[in-house]
Amino acid sequence: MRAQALVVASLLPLAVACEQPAPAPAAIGQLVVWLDTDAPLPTATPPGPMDPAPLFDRVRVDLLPLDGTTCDCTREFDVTTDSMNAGVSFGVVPSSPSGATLRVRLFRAAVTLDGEPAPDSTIDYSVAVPPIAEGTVADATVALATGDVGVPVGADTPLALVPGKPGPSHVGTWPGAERVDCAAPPPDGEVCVPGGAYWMGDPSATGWTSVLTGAQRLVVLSPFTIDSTEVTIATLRAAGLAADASWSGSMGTASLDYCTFSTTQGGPTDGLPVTCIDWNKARAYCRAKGKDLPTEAEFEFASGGGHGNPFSWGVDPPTCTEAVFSRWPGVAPDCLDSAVDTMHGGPAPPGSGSRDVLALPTGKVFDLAGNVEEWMRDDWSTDGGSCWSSPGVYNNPVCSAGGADASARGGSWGATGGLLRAGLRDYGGKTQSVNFVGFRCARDAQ
Amino acid sequence: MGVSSGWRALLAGGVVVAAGCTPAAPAPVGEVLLTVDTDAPVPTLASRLRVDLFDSSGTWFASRDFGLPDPSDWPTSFAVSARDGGGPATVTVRLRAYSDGQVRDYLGERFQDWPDPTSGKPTDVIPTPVAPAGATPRLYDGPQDVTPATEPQPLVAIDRLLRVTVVPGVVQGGAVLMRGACFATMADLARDATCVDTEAARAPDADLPLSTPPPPAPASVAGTFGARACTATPRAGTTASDGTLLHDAEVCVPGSAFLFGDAATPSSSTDTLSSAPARVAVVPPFLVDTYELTVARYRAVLSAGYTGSLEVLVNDTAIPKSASSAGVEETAPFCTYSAQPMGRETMPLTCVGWPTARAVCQFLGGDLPTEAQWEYVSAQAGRTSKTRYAWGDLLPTCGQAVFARGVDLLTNQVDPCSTMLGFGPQPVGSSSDRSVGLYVADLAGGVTEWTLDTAASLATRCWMSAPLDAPSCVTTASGTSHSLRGAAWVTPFLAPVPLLATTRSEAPADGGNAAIGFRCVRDGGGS
Repeated sequence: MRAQALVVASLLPLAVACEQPAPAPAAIGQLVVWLDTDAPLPTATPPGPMDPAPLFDRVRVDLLPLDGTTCDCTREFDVTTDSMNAGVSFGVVPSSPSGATLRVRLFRAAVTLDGEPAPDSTIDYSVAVPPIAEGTVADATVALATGDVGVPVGADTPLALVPGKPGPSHVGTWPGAERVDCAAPPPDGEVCVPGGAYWMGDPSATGWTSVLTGAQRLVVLSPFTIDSTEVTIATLRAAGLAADASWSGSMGTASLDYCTFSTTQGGPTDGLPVTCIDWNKARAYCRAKGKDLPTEAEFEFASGGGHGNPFSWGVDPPTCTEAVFSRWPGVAPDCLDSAVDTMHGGPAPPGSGSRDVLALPTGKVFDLAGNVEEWMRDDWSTDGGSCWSSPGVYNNPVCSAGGADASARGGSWGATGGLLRAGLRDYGGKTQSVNFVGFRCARDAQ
Repeated sequence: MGVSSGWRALLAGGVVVAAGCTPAAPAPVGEVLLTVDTDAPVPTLASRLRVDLFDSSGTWFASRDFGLPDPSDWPTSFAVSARDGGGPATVTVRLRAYSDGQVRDYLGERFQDWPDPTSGKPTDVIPTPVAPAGATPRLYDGPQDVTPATEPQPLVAIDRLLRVTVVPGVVQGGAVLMRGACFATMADLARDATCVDTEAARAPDADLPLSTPPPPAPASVAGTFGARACTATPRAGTTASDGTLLHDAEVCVPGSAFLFGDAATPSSSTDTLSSAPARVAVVPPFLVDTYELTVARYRAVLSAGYTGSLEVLVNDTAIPKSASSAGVEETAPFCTYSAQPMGRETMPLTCVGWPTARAVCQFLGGDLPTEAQWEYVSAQAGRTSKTRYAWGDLLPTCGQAVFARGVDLLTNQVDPCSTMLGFGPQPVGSSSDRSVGLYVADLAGGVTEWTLDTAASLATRCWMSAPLDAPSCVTTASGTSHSLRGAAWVTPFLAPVPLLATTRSEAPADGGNAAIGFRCVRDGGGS
């Protein structure tokens, strides 16, 4: 009996990105499996602000013989928009007489679990491969649909093989990934975040606390607008509202010292983001304006620049001048009293961090990473809790599970740089007011 | 892989087609077929190849990034064409081998050399070079700026410059070996200098020898960099004269190169050192204690004539079965060592200072582990990809590791695992906390462990100038704190960050407490 084999042509020319199917030698029977998908894949040139983010970048192929023998037939290779358009295929030599099951997984190279593609962010198909007669070469196609992410297909009963080569590739045609612009130009002070798809959740956060598992889920969002800045004391007062606690008059170490609200108009804290305000008041403010708090999914999408990056600006953690963080005496003091911290800790006027700016076609969004943490519309539910446990695609998710806690997102002046990553979560009691948590508003713009 | 010889020949002779994937079209502009291999381990240190092309005027005209995650993807080949037709054209090729996710924002060319270990203080943080105005050089496709948003992290990339001359109508070929010794020696684009095969050294970039037809692809040497077997024999476990297990068995850890540190591990409190930036460490073969050093083993060391530092707190009372406030590790009743055995002989020795820990290891013929050795065993040894915890990527439960056996810092409640499995320190090896492949016990939990290294950011001169081979940062300044690795029985259930294999913490040399112990390593030979 011949060994099972799986062959991937791995030579990629630089001048023209295409992957050549390995020509079959005449003596042994071979199945050439062609891949197709509707998912957006990496492109040769970087995606612009209105381009969809690539959702997958790697394929893992396992050939599992049905006769109980083992076969060291596992291969991984990268796929791109260019290679998919040119045709990606690999050769399979299933041993007779039993045939084999071919498992094809499209996943993200950066997100694995014990060396396997992480199930939540993988399209997983199992296909029945019949024995191939000596000397014959057959073509077959496996088309991986983005909508099947997170739910293995054919795991119990393998799918029947689809014979033939695919037509023109469907790469990048999944409608969920399309960047949809806002229906109307955003009002003053708001910025349109075009809709689209991204991976919510930060796998590198696994193990940070037991409530964060770093799970990933594919989220599709409709366009929305978001306030350019965190709500400041001046705007809160202009609305005739007050925070829960007032400024102590100094920036020091007592907890009230970083409550920014002051009844005195024109004081030194007027331009600072609101802190020490509870979730109920923050939400009421937004709703009175015809808006609402942003959802966790919306905020994380914007915080990742719409491309699933750790920060709105890219991948590098910030330095003291690039975002407002690490300004808390005794807790996170690395940037305390640095050249950009003139108030001995606490929040700073919006836009103080030089890189903490998301530039979109209709304006700029400031302080998504740092300055103050922000209340979200979602009720708190842990990763794996009632709101965030089902596999598959999430459309405009918002957690309405009820409960005493609401979620909060974004880093703050009191957090270290690593805690400013877009995918990290936090929560607090809805009636709690804290000196590092403020808010901004958002509205649907479909 | 179960590939028949016919297939293997087919792969080795793979055909690259230059024009629109139409077979057999000759290349009118000429091309150079580059075959690139590496001796670095795939995929842990090399799973991607970034290729950038510059013309003879230094203009950047092409950039590609290939995923090559399988050892059989190497050597890889690709064709280099000149920008336009005409006569022979010289192309400068920049090759960077690196691994998935190890990128930084591209803000322009930011050349950085190894820092001078002798100037300045070892604890100076080495700043990242300032980005040039306009974030240059940049890549254009016509008028469109198509500069990639990221570039490989220089500390964990093999960065190689070479020149080829493309001759119209001719297909030439050449082979390049990306050597692991060149990790962290960034190519100097402005001065046309590149690391070829010697750590921290650069030569002027040179013309790659080419031949027509292209030479056959060599067999890959992926994974040979730093790979060495142990020649020393690990000690088998022994017992004291009264029959008490000494838990002194060792295992051999073969030498290897690996990705040391982790840019994403949080530093969430002031006593936790950042694990960034990640770097490459070559760990020579060594023998590591399977267990944390126990009370019984310390007693055996004392009776064997050890006369060094005796900075171990003696606790002749029983360890309390509960407590009402956090911070119990700082109180004497939780220390494990007693003047006479009190039923704690198989518990890890705690309340021991760093000088004593080190002296005991030296008395036993070894030393404390370096952070690189500790992290290698905990996160990488025996695995094809680095894992978050010693046992893999899954979050710990109560039975997985000895942790959450104290009082929670925030709630002041007894941690949940102690209700089920017992409060306070536990005997070594009493949970499922075993490293993948080598079954080293209690790396994640048990007690936090002293390492040889001084507590210093991985961005300091001390670490940034440490060689690839056996990197370590040991300063001699008085009042030095030392790095600790791993979590302990007091680590709260709700804040298990210290259980991660890459999390670092620190304590003053005399700052041992009931949550801090150690294990020893010895040379594994093979050099």
